[in-house]
Amino acid sequence: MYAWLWHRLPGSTSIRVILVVCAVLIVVALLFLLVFPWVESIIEFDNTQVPQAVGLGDQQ
Amino acid sequence: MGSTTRLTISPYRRNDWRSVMLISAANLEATNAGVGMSGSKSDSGKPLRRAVRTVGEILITAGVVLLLFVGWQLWWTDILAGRAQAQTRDQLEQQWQSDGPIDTDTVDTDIKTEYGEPFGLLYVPRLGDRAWKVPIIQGTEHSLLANGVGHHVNSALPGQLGNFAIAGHRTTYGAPFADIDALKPGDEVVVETRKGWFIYELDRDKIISATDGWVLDPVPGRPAGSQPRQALLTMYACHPKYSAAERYVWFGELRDEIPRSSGKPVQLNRAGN
Repeated sequence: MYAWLWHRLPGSTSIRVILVVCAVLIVVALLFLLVFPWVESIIEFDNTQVPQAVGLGDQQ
Repeated sequence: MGSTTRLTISPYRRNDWRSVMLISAANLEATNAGVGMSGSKSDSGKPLRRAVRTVGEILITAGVVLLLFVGWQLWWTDILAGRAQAQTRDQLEQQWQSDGPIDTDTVDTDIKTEYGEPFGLLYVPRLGDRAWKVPIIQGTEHSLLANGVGHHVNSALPGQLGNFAIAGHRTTYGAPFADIDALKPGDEVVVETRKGWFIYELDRDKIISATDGWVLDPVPGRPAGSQPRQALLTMYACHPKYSAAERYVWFGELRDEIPRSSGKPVQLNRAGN
């Protein structure tokens, strides 16, 4: 997979390395800014709340 | 560079080594050289090897993404929360300023709150910087706790009869209550509102299950419907650390009220503040 992608990259080795670094940075930025916040909103690993007594209606 | 090394390694070993190191760009180059050696003909002639390699690459990628997620949770959310809390704090202090000065000798507990908005600041001297001047937000939704600690909307307000119940993060998002287990009975907790300061004194702690909602009752531990005769405090966070299975709770009661006119309480005197 990665070998295949590497072959598709244009230019000399050093240009390819720069492209790979840029691609990795973009992917990490997307993960940090979009994907991880979204994942957390679904899973809520550190959901701190204690449920309030029934009927009091604090949003859980 | 790879060509001499390549010839000295057996094909199997080379493959293991290749899949382990595939993440970095330098190794992509080595892989490139390896593929070049075997030629595109032999590569396409071994679909199983290719499939295994692809699966390996996907698994390694997934592992790296999971590690990044842990890094995001434990490090990046702290940075986000630090920024959000500073902004929330500024917003609150500006609002207090524009609302005009308070010059009564008593502390009015009647303050206006709005869901999702800050109405106070929390100081827990023993917990240090993490729990110093943390915005208190109305509501305990997950998204709100990034801005500070959350106040259960149906619990009492600071200084009022009943239970002032707040929740904070144990880990991630600034983790104001990271060291909640280091608190001791007798420790003070200061709550600042526009009208003044409320000094609560911690009294006892307890580890409860995540579903023990009774800690939020007007008089925790008493039958529901008991009339509160004191201004109480409940503050809690997740427990154990890095888990959300239980909650670490501290109970306390109001010791003192300090109006704005008396100036900042001694509990808040410390270097840099």
